[in-house]
Amino acid sequence: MKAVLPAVLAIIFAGTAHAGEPLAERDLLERELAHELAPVKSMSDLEGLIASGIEKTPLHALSTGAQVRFLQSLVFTENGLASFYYEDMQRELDATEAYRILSLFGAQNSTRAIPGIRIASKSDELIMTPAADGGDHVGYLCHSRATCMESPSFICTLNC
Amino acid sequence: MDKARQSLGVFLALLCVLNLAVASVRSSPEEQRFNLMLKAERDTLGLPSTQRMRVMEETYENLFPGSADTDPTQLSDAELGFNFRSTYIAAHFSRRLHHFAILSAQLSELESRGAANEDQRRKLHETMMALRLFEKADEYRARHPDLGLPAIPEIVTSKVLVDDGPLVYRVHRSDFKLIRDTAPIKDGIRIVAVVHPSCNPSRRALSDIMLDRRIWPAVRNVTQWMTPQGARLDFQLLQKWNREHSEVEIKIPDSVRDWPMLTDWSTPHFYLLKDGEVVDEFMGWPSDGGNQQRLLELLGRGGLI
Repeated sequence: MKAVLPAVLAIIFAGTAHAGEPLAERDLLERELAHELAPVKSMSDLEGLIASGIEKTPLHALSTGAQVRFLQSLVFTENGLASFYYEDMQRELDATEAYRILSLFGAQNSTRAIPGIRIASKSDELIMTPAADGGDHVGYLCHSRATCMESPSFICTLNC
Repeated sequence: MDKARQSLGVFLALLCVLNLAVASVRSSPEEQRFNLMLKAERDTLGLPSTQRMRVMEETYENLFPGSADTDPTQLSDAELGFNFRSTYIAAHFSRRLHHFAILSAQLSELESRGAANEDQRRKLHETMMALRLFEKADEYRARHPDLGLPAIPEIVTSKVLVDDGPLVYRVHRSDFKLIRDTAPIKDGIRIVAVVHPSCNPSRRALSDIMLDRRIWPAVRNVTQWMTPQGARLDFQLLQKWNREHSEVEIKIPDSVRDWPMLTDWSTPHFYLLKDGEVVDEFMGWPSDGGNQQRLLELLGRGGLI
């Protein structure tokens, strides 16, 4: 974990140095930590997860078709999950179930960017508590060469 | 690999892994067609925005031939739900009233059955916003106060508009208003920067540009900072941004069809225009070093440095 601290600090300062809405330091720290602890950070991790059985993961909360659509939508960068398709999660899950799925990728902080997701429990409310700008761009997909491209029902995360 | 991006590799490998899963899904023809719309959306990612719009429109027309004549009453709730999702994607890319009309008819049928949901109503409203059907969107919002749909700002015209460029909306500094204006890009050397404050690469670019002593003086007076057309106005976000960055006022285009010289609206994307024609362009702002050198080249081509 020693190597993590400089990276975390670098991200904090990079975030606050942005000319846009300064990203909350706490949010950046949480995102970095979530990425460090995430079981799936790469394609090979994802293959392993699928091979071990989706039914053993939070993904089982999604219908089969929705699982496929979600997994096919994932875009990774070296910083972690950069884009995902949220529409099926919005339709089929509550915020806690979506949070559990996104936690697999260290992207649980992006749950609150999902518009209109069901809030039915205390944990849903806590997850969806508004926070400072988290850097998620709704309706956009992280595209090659570090660009956000309009795509309905996608979220382009801070990792793009 | 550019920014160590793995998306293509991820997708191709994942397709192999998911083959069994896909094969095991017993999906309806409507769900299969919706999946094909999503596939087309992914497959066209490398294309310029305008070409992508065209391909997506064609894909929809091929998957749903004569869709305007299809009787939605013949479909089950689930089938109609998938068709609605497909039409929503088509309308998003085409920005055509034709697709909006189909979407409206599909939702009306679902409403008449008591089978419509909030997500579908939000999508119809988003489509109205994307097509700049502001009055209709405001009426719809008033009819559905429980959805928490975004209010439409008052749209005002504060001066006589001249024909020096496409119609844009400027965000009022303090009031809940959009000001109709034009973006003067028809004459001389101009830069159009397509950016968005919620896009992380855009934020990196804007930060680097404003801090760069070679670039900032060259761009500050000749650049139109534009968002994509988008289904969301992001009024509060843009108002805050523009208040805090008065020299980088980001504006909203009325319609990307008024900007035929711009083939791509990914963010960030930089265009150098001479008398309204594109003479240089590039997109992206990688986290490992940005794109200052490329922007300096563009500025050099325009004689701006």
